Amino acid sequence: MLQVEDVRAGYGAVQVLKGIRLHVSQGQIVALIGANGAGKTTTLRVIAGQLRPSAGRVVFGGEDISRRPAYARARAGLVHVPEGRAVLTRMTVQENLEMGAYARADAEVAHDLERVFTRFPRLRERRRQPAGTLSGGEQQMLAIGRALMARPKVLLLDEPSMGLAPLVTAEIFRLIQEINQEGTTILLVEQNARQALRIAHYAYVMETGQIALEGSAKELLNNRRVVDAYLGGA
Amino acid sequence: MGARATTVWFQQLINGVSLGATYSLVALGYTLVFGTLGIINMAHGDIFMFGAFFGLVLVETGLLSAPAMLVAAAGGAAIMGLLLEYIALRPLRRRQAGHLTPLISTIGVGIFLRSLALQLFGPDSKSFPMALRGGSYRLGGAVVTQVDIVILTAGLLLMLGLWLLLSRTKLGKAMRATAENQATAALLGVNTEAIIAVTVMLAAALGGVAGALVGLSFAVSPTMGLPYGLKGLSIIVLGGMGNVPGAMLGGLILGFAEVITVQLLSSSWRDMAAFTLLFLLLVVKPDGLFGRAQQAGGRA
Amino acid sequence: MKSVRVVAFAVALVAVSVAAAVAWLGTEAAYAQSAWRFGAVLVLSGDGAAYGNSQREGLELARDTINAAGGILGMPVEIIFEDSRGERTEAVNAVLKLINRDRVLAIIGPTYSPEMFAAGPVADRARTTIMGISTTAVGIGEIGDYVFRNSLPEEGVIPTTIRVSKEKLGYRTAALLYSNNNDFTKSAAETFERELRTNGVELVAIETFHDGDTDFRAQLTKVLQANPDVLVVSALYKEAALLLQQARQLGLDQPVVGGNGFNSPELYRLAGEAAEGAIVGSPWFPGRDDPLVQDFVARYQERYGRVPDQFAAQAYDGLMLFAEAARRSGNPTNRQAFRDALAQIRNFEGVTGVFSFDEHGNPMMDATILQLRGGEYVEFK
Repeated sequence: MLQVEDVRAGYGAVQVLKGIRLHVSQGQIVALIGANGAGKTTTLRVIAGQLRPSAGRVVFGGEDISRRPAYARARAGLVHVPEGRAVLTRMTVQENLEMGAYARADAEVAHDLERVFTRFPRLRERRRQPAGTLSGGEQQMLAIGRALMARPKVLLLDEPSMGLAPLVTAEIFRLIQEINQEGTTILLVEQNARQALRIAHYAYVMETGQIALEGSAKELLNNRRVVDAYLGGA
Repeated sequence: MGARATTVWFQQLINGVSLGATYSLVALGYTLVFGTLGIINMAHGDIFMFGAFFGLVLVETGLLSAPAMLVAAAGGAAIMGLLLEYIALRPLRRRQAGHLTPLISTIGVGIFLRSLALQLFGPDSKSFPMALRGGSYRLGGAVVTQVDIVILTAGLLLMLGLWLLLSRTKLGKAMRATAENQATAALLGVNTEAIIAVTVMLAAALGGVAGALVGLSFAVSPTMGLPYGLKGLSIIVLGGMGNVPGAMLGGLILGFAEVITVQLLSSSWRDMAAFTLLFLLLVVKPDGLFGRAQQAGGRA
Repeated sequence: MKSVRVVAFAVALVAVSVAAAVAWLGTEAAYAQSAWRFGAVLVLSGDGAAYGNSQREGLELARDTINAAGGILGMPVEIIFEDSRGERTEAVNAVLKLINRDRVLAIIGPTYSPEMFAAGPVADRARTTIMGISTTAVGIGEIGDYVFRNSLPEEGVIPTTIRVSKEKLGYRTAALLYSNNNDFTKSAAETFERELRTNGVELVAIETFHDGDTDFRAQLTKVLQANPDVLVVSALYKEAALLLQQARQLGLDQPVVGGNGFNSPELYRLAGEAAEGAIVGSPWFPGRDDPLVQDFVARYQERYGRVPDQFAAQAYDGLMLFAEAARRSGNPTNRQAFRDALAQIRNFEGVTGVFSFDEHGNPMMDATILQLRGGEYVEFK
């Protein structure tokens, strides 16, 4: 479904990604874990088209999309929910959701909106409020709901649990699993490695701009090195 | 005396509305570009002037139709807006220049346009044929011209149209999303560069229509954009940067302030008193009448 | 090696220049004794070039007219033109060159008053007559004994304008409207105010605006309230045209008396019907029923293809005044005799009117009062 092949990228003279290979199979949740600064977010930015790689390519649905602008990738079904939620704070909750369906021209937008509201009753209550007035957890739900409005083929989630209370975090992970079960492929970047590995099918571990380790989520959960480095040595 | 004074005040009310409506029209285009790009388009006053000339050139071919004239003004100005975007704004955005750089580049475009107009049309003022300007009506002793009515109607319609566009349409929402955060808008599938180009063109078209209407009401000359540009700029500060109803209301307030100053104080105080009022309003509400501080959401 | 060549080249260059200068000065000096040689310092390039070129045309027509009639006392008139580009330093340099190198008898120009304030004292110190033909600022003649002008300033036109228009229209109250960020219109407004009061007219409203303003309705509504017998407007034609239109629209149908801005044909083109009947004083009127004027207009039109403007007419009269002074002084190299002869001139009949110098060398003449009728200026009678 989505392949990242030998991607190198960075900011100015700083090389962040030093040759990354990733493979996301259809219908799976693939987790990308690693320490802060390992290059996880940069990887997602390259996939979403926000950052041009200096080498390598991104293949989506069998097509090389490395040269396509971010908006074209979004329209093709590769939907990125960036770190820090990035809701449009000055637009209302409903407008944010409608913007999620911006690239769609079908008649089922209203139906999908209804589904998002059913899934997130809080958003329905606040549909007329500016998104900037929502709490952190609500904003994360809005960001995910907005991404769903695009009917994504692959959903790129960057740190969806960041800054959220444990209860809300659990809800978000449950939600990610649910979305996946409905048929959406997910590439999940998380610092909360344990939770991520619990819901993922496959996972990659990043260290200083490279893939250090990969395997099925179950394997990695039991991998000594992963446990020591990322799961708090439990 | 009483009846006469009432008539005078009624006339001044009309004067204030018609003056204010022209200011508002100019301010709408400024506010649209500022709201979307966060930059002040210093060439707006000169695109406004060219709008008037586009209309005049069409009329001089013998086509005496006000709607056709306004379409020519809007269309010609929109093309100028597109050129402005491609020549002066987009290259700077690509290089991630700050907010001051486009200010300078649009000043440059403005100077270029003014010189170009001087070359093409000469320094003299020109006026639209009387046939197009229509007559005037008497309203309880006061006089209203047809052009006044057109300007006020056009101002209100354009404001309403702009508000509907921004709040109700997909394009408008994409414009607002682009205004708030270009990166996020792109992730939602918005071709932000295209949206910006459309916004700049739309603002230029608004400026062109404003110029044609002001030209119709008064006269057309290469320097006509300067005073209106300056006032339009003050109005968007007063109305709240990037705010559409704020621009409309701000224009009317400035128009009234000038007229009332003339009536109550002295005409030589006109601009000074009007700008003092603007200043005082800004002291009370530093973000403008509809400033962002108290309207985090509904910008439209 | 290289430096030797450079020096040799420089020496050669200097030698050639000196030779050329000597040859040139030689011929010039020889010629000077057999002609009346005048200098003219005009704005011939830059923003004001249109004025300077009109002046040049007026001067050339006058020169050729004189020479075609056999010159003055058998000697032809010659004019050396210098371009000041409207700049004071250029004007001063041009005057110095004309006086010291070209050894002219007297100088016409410069075009602008500020140039005259810089160049006039220079000519005065050199005891060479200099006469402005378009300098209308106050105090030009007062610069010195050798400084003159034949151009009637707006302040000299206004007394006639008010006297004649009041006589004919019999107004008692007036509203004065003027642009107060323009020195010319503002100083004219002050003269209007003084003359109106001198003539016993009550000013019931004084309203101001700025150059570049377009909406005058607030001021005009106030004037409407004051209900004067006449509107007096001191503005450039652009603002005047808009003001007249808006005044008529608001129902102000009083007669209008205007300052110099009303002398432009642009006023009627812009204001149309609203300018009908407007009254203005002018130092120059090409339509005057006077054979002298009609002959000048016809010959100018034939040669340059258009009606002479004020600049051309005043320039023409300027050289004719010089010719009169030359005839009376009789000597093409005696600058003092020329100056004294010029100062003596009284009741000289020129195309701009009957002309005398006052004791300072400023003009004393009546302006022509004109009225716009059907898009044409006619004498207001």
